[in-house]
Amino acid sequence: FNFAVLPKRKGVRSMFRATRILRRALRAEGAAGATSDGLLFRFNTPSSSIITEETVKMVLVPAVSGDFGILAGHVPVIAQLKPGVVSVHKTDSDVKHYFVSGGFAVVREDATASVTAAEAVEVSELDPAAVKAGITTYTNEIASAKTDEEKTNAEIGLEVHQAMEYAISLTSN
Amino acid sequence: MYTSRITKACRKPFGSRGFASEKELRNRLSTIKNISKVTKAMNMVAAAKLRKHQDALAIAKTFAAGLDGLFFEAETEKPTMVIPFSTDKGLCGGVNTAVNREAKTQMMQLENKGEEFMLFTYGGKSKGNLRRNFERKMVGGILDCGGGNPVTFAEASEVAEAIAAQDFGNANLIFNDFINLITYDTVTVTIPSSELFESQAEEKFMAYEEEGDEGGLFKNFYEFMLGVKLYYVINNAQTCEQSSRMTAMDNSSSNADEMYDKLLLQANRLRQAKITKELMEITSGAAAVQQ
Repeated sequence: FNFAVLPKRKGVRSMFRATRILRRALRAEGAAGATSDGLLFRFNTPSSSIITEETVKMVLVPAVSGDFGILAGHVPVIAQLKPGVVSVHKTDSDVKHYFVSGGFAVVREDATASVTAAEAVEVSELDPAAVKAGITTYTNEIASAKTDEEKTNAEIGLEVHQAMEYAISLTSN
Repeated sequence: MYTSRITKACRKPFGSRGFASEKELRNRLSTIKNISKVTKAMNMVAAAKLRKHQDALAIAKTFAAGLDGLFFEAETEKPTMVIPFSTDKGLCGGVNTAVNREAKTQMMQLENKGEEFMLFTYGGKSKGNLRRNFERKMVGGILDCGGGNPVTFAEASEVAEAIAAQDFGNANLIFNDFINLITYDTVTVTIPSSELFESQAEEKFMAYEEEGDEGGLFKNFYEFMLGVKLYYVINNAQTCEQSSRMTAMDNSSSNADEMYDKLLLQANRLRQAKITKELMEITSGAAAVQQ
């Protein structure tokens, strides 16, 4: 996926953003679908249904604008994800870490949440040696890239591998 | 009075009776046996593939459920794009007829209302069938997708890209929804174009926080959602193709077997009648000689 980044559109956009900020200040906790026991959560990829529909305590997602946590009663969000770790806290003690390549996290108006990722693996399944090798490979490819497209692809490869390295270090503690 | 032309192929050999000769019956019997073998094999192959596709479809359905209902039908004057999802290969029962018929109905309705529309075909069977009356409305299509295996997310994303590149208002995705081995439903899902989604998304998703590249979020969101949706739609269409082919080949095999049994009976009777006739000739000839 090569995502395009369009130039900022002023005017109408800033009005909508202001409206949203105002609403957030007014919004009370607890929307229709949030149960007192937790957040109704879905986590799926094209190759496997990791979590079809479960009630969890909290989910941490790696959005492009910064990591954030989703608890029951969270305001509606549409978040684009960058390569990083999705941490599913089923309970305080039952925590699983998944590395995702990208996708979207959505919290709906009925307070159900979903993470839809192109690919996700448990961080414990990542091979540290392969990740290190990947970083070296892609660093070299960036240096030797001839076209813009090659360079961008190599940069994407490097970003993903660096994120994987970070994920491994985070969860091995 | 006129004589009908008899082609060489069906001209009866000299001396034969009104019905088929023994040799012809034997030929027919062996042809039917071959057809029966082929259809049985196709049935088994389709059954094996169906298993694979059903599993993939179950995952695809759960995958798409996370982003379900977030597309909206855009308010627009722009033309509607009709996208029928058909197969490339034939001998698959009624799946393609159902989809093409629905596509034709929708396009005729749009034509009667005086609304602009265009046609984007997925699969060779829609392209071939709808070409006759709607060739001038065809703007593009997809062929040779999937290659016998369940479609991958990467492939679905490429199809999404091809569709998103078209200039339209709303698109009607017409495909068969798999219910069970013998039942499927022809459904239509309407999605907006990328442009209209982006321009109307701000308003429709006013209640939502946005976390993403400023200005690029809804475009990326649209592309991703379309890939996800098509992954589900194409997997669904492919599963229906396999189940329909299985049923069709199963019916063909039964018909072939039935035909074979009937003809075998006829061939045996013919053979026995011939033997009886010869016996009688010999017997009466011997009796005549004795006298």
